[in-house]
Amino acid sequence: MRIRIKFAKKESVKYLGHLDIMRFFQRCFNRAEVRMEYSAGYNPHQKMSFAQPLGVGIVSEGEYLDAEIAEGQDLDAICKRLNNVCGEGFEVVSVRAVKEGAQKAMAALRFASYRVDIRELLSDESADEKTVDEDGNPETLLPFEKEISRAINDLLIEETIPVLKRTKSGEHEVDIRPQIIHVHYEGGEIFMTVTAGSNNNLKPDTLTEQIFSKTTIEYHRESIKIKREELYAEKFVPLEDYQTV
Amino acid sequence: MERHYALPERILMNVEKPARYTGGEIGSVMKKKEEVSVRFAMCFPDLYEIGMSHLGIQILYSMLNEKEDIWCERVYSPWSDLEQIMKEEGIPLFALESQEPVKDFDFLGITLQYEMAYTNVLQILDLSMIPLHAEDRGGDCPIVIGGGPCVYNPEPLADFFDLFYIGEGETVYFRLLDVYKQNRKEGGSRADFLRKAAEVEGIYVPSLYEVSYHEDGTIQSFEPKAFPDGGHAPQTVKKQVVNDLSSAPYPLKPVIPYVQATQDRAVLEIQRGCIRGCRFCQAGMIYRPLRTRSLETLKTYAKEIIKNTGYEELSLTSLSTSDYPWFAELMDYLVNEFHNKKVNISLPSLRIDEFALDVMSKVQDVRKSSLTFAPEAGTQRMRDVINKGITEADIMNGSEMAFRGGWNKVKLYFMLGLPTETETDILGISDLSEKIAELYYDTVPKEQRSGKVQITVSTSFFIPKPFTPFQWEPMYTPETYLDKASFLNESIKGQLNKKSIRYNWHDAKTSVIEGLLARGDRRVGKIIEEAYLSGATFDAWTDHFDYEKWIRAIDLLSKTEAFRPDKAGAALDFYVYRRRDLEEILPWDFIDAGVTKAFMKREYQNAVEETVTRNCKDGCSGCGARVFGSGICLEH
Repeated sequence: MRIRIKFAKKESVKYLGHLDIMRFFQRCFNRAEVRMEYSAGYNPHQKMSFAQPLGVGIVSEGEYLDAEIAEGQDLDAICKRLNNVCGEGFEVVSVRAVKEGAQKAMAALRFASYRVDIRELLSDESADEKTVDEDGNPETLLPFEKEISRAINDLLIEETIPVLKRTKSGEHEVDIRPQIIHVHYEGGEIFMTVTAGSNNNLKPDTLTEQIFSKTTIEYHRESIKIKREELYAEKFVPLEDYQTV
Repeated sequence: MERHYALPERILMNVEKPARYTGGEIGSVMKKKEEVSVRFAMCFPDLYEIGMSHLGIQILYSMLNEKEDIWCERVYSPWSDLEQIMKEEGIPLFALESQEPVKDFDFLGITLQYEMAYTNVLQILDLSMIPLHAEDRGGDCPIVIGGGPCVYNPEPLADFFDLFYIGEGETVYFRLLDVYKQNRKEGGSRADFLRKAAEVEGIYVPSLYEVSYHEDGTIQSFEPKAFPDGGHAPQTVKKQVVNDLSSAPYPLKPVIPYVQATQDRAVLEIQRGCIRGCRFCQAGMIYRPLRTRSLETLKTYAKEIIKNTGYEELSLTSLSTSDYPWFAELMDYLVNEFHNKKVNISLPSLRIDEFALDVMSKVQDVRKSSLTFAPEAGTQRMRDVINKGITEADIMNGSEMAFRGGWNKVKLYFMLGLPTETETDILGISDLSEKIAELYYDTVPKEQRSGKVQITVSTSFFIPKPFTPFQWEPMYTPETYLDKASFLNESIKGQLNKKSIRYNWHDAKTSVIEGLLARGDRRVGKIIEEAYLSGATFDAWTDHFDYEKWIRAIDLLSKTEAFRPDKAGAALDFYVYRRRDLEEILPWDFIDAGVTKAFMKREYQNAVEETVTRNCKDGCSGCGARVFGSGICLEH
């Protein structure tokens, strides 16, 4: 049977690459004594696939992997056992059975939501001058915050947002405007929902960089903190609930 | 618990594989530093992926962390990208667990597994901001300890270490740490501790010994210095040996790296030592006597380790694995136990016979795997000289059986430049390769062949090592080595089946530098330091090794009083290309490795006379290792 595992990748393991995480889960299944299904051939390997690789340095509360396991195992017990062996860096949120004939998480994936913490980029600008309102209270929207909000509006008004994308076959231009479903700024973070998947994927740092390009604030990739919050199938159904039991 | 990192995000996001530096792996041990009395940084001076593949560190790590009041952490060499950033920004080298600077620890233990890591040792000290020279270290510096196989000649590194631990780590570490705690309690100084440490069996404190030299550069005397109160450190330092391997500590819950290690699998050490006595082999001498883990212990360990780690592969490790007395039973058990659990068993090179082929066909894909033979020399005469107990008939019979069983890949390992080697011996290598190729075509009918037979011949250059019967032998120059390699290459090219034989050889310049470091004395430390200061590191990595840097460093020492101020390469002539006198004092003579100098002289004579010495199983040859009273020595 196929199961779908939702897990969180926390701060302490955020520097792991995708291949490291794949290997890590293989061994977690073994340590948790989950009876897996294997591919045929002389070097059989566990049948598992991830919804979407997560970049190095990014944390997540909504990672997904599908795995084929032998029939007749208690999924709640598997969830508990996985949490016992996966260490502090990961948390298995849920283990659900996937319906017969359903798409794999990878194929079902349509959208992803992220929150991008930009406070470090903003604080440089404002370290010395805290703006206060007439009563001496900190202003709810500091000037640079207003700038970010305005930049988001400016961006969304555009009919096309051409971005140069580097791939193996060279550079080509992509219009990312249709890939933006939603974006807003609040309390030091940019919240975004964008298209995801193998064909139509928008990276959160690409969008963040575009927003900053419409401001006077300098952008450094290493100063933003990205968290993936959830991955969705069509109609914004979280993968956890999409064609699962 | 939130982890705090020594490196800020902007650095971690800009170096290759940042997870090398962030720790937190499953199996790594966290303690509170306020609750421990000794902090030990255990270092493998190479890249994380290499160091994490090493069993010895895992053994000591779990052994030390068992004790509540000791916290052992790990340290590896940062790769060049990070090294540069750390130097620019003045970030001190840190241990993976606490992410705190190594310089704040009580001990820094560095394992010395291969000579070509010596510049990395200096890099570790340098990045840790610990003075390179032991004599310049103050009371707040960690005590720097060296261990591992290279300490059987620690002299080239004598200036950089406070002490060396000679032998197997499982025996006297706790005693040494007790001495440390006691000394601290009594308010003793660093010098007080070193004096007391020298009284622990197996501990060598180089600063407590004085070396003087003859005019020709050889050692005149090697003596412990007299203490003001009249005492002195022991004349000889006795290597440490685990007598009962089955009850020795073993890491059943090893640290499991997130980043893929070079050896990414569970490891089962089945025995230590070797009965064979190949005369070029240092491991075969220094790990004597052969000691085995009991079959029952290994069965339990195998099951535990696989359960605890979730690895899909279990690798057996030892010298000469086929000599393990219960090898058939062990393999039976492992194949039965793990086959259905999809755990692969990986075997080191076995002596190829019917049984080995049977085992291999059960655990490997015959079409993909290859047979490995290490005849080491091309003629029977040469094999008798080196006491390599494998005959051409063994190789031919093994190959024939294997070809019938479906194998068609053969790997052959040889050495060039062995003592007494002639052109005939080199030609023997290509003859043997050709014979194996012909055997394949004679054995396997055309319709059953899956392509050509693939024979890979690899040669390394013989490097004489301390504590071997060849420790007095000279090496050849890189040019001569390359002549030998191209002579062999030409000969292989002239064979009928040349298209089935591939030949590759080691780098000759690296071999010469390794030879220098292996048998150098204290003065060679200057060369290592000079090479490091001029930018040499990661010399074990082919594309990092810079021979010119070494040659410049060698020339600097050569031009000093100690050698021939008029001759640039004099130090290489002295340490590497010179035949040493059987009577001269060798830099490592102060170590009592069990195996005696008298035995090695006898074996040297036997080599010259082409006389084979029996292995330990067939009878004792009186090497001296019997003093330890353990292992195979008890069987006679």
